[in-house]
Amino acid sequence: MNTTLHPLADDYLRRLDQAAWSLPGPDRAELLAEIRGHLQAGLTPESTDADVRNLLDELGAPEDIIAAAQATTDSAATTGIPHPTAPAAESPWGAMEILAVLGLTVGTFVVPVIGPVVGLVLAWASDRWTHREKWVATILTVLPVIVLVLGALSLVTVRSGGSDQPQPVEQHAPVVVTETGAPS
Amino acid sequence: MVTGEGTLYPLLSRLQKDGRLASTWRESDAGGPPRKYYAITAKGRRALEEFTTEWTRFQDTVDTILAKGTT
Repeated sequence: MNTTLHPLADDYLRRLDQAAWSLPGPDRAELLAEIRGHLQAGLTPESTDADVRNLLDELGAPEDIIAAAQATTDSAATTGIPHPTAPAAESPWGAMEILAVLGLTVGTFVVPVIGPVVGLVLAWASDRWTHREKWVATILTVLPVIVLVLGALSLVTVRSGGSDQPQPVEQHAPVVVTETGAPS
Repeated sequence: MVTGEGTLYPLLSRLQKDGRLASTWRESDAGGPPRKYYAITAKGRRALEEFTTEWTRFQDTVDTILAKGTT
């Protein structure tokens, strides 16, 4: 940092330092030291302006170097450094998902039938939940309904089947349900 | 891919962070500024071999497709 090179090279390093503000401190210092070393190795006291300009052209624009370094920092997720926005994007809880769960739970009691149906539609419209999670939500919602219906069916069947009816009637159990269900 | 020599340094830095390169600073003989020397590591060599295999497979596939196109 302290030694001065050719004025053009110093100016280049200053531009590089300014462009490097977005890099983490150690990366910024290391990159600047390396580019400075590159310039020092390539320049002699006899270097003309044209020599310096050629050397700087070969290095490329400071912005390009910083962009390359930035890309390296961004892809550091593969080396274990978490990307700041990655966890938020992977969170399964958005407004739609919360509404879906509310519809499937509270909605069942507040607005029967419509609540869970809206909840399921929202759950399936979600782009944060996986296919598997959507099926789990659906089964958890539909399963109690199926259990209730089957329970009611068996009760009705037992009641009607408890009399001296022979077996063929049991096959018509659903028909019996609608018959006994209608008046009540 | 590499637009200027300067972009080589971030690339080297990244390879080093990945453990595919190791580097040491050494004083230069002619009294110039110290120089940084890079060397490939065992992990780097494995990565290079993997890439070479992958590349050869890719090259063969493309060659096959191009050969079919010309006949």
